[in-house]
Amino acid sequence: MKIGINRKVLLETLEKGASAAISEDAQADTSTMSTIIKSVRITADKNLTIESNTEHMQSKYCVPVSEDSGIIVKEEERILVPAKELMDWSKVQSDDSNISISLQKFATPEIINTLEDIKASDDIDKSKFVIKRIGNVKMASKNASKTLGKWELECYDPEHFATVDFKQKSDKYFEISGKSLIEALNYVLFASQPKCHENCFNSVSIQNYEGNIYFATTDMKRCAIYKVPKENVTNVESKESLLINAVLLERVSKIINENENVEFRFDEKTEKIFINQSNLNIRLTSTDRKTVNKFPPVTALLQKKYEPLTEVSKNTLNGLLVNASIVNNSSALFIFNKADSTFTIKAISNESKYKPSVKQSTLDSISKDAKIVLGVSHLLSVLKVIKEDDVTLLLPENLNSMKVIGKNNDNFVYFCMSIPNPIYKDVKEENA
Amino acid sequence: MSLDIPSPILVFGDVYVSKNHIISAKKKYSNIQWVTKNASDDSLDDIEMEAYCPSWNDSDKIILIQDLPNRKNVREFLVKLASSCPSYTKLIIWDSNGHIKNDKETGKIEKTWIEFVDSFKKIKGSKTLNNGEELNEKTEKNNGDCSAFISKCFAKHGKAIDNKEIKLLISIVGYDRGMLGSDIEKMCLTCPDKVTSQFIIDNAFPVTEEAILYKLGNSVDEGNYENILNMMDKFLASGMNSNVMAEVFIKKARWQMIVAYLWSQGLSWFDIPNKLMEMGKFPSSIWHNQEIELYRKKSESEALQDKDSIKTYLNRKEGIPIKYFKIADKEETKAKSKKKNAETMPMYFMASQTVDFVKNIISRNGHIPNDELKKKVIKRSIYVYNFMQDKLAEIRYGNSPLQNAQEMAYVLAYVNLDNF
Repeated sequence: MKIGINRKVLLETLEKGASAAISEDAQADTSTMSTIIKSVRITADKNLTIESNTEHMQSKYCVPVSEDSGIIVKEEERILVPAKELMDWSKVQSDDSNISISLQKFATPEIINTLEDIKASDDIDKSKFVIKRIGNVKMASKNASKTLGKWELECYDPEHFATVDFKQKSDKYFEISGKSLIEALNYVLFASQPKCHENCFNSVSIQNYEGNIYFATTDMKRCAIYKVPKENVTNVESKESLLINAVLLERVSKIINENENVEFRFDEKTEKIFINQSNLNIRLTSTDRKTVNKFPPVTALLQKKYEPLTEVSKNTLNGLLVNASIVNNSSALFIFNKADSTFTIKAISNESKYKPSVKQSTLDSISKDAKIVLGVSHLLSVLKVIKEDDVTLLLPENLNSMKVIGKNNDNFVYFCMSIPNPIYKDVKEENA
Repeated sequence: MSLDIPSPILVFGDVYVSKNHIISAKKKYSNIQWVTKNASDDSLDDIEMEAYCPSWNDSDKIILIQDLPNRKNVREFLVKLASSCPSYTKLIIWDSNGHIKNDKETGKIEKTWIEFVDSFKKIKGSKTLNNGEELNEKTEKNNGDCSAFISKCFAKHGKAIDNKEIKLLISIVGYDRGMLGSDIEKMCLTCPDKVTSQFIIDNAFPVTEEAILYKLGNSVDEGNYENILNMMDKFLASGMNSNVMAEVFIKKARWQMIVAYLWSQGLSWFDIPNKLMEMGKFPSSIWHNQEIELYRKKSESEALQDKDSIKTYLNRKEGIPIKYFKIADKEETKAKSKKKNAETMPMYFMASQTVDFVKNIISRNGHIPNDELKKKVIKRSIYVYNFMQDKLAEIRYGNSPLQNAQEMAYVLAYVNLDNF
């Protein structure tokens, strides 16, 4: 193999195609074949194809070879090299450099036994634990006049790399504009649970309700729902929901082309999600239909009746919340007084070092008197994603939750449960 | 949906057993949301919020609070939380650090935690799950509990184990149920349906110096020099020095010499193990008394372990006048208490192994008449013992310790009587 590639183009292709191999998942892998999991397969022919695979994510990025695209292929070949090392080296080369990559094959491949001194029983196929090193990949960065840097990496037999069939039979769900997908994820990712043993609440649920596509996340104490504007979704072919791991989807949002539509497909049999753009193919592991349906339907929340309580500027609300969070970041009592339009947050802590704190602000109007205990951190986090300057707070009749929306923005809604914490019981009664 | 488990629950006692309970509960209620909180690191406000906050779908959740710190405010907080927890939250408080222990003198829960446990017990609907003390000491009760535990662990994998092998396993691994549990898990992968002593010796992981003695001593009893060298390599790799191994060899040579002596004095091979088991035990006036039956020796000697009992015994049974006894001053007692007890044979099977080695490996030479054989056996054992002493001295002077230890192993395994 012998190719010349513009540094910027190489970095872009690696970021997309090697996304799986450079993920934390892959880099932390300590299995016997971790060398392969951390590697990227680069195929140079009429196209330059970059592929990487982990257990949960597979990515493939393909760029046509041409001088315009900044890629020249002198010798067609396939290589398998450590992804992170290649990327790290490329990053520190000068901006205007071109990088030449060439493979120097060994006459006889070197055999690396990943089992080393481990005694494996005879019935184990030991060939599965052997990695063939076929040579070294030499890299050199050059600008117009001179060579700036040289390095080399080990190259493994590309046959070790399991080829993923991105065109396998799957059901098309919908297409969404890249920009809209990124926006939807920016709105909802923060409310997902970091870990869930069932792979349910650490995921983003994509639901179809009355012809609209909703992205939703919850940790069961709060729920973030984003309705994708209808004009940004096309070819909706399924009414079923999808459930995709939030961390994986966040990674996807960083590598997709925002100016192009993104196609979502799902193969229920293998529980794989396919996310496609013209040059980029991604396959993610999902879960079974039963778990997908375990995620609460957005309809339950969207149909629930909430009455507007007040409008408050993000700055004011943020100030009150930050003050309360110093004492108790988890819960505080929110007191809304209709008569004098005051909004008070009182925080009491179980930690003996903190005295209770109270902070009040006067608002333009409050529609009714209300006292409700809410998670301070739950509200602080939503203020970071709402783009509007003012937010509207809404309450249901039974006061068991609060709905937060950006003023004049119906696409994003956020719900947080009230917390019947007895620590505030006395305060409530006092005020009553 | 309402869960059929009581709440709140306090789990404490042996950490290994408690952990198993928690794991099986997690398995049983895997369809319920479990939230794990760490009472040492997570803020109390956060734990409280998690406990009181209902779920969107009105489902129950189980909150597991573990890693309890030894802090009064946390204990008070947990009791308060447990007594006012809403019905949709099932609360499990687990003393995963094993803070709640019994006082060694009173046998009751230590003062620091008793108030917490008592307050918890008073909460309506509460349950406490005490999984007993950790078995890290050698007592009769622990022995029984541990035996039952080991049998149960093996039975879980469809394997059977006898008392003799249970004792052997305890002597190698110790009483820690965590260590035992993990060792048994590992052994069950390869062990036969009926666990044998040899299997345990080969596979159990030794955690005490005594256990290492068993393992190395066992390889000596096979009389195979190469096996002993392999075993020595393993112990050296795990950080043991030649000095410790030399002491193991010298003990082995000493016991072999005693066996040879007893046999040369006319004791039958059958009786020698029992005799070995009596040696070094206190008081010798009972253990070496031919008129007392073996089964009585143990019970009688147990009653004479404190100084007043032994004084009375020596006075009444042996006729030593009371005036001959003096009360030692504190310094003297301290100095004496530092003295090591006489060497004893820890377990019967080890005595049998040593006797079998002398009987079947050293004395198997059929062509030598019995009287001459006895002389040769005792001559060999004395020579071997003296050789061991010299080599031990060399090792202690720091002269080629490994080479000297290997030579000791070679001589111990050398069983050709023609040269004696």
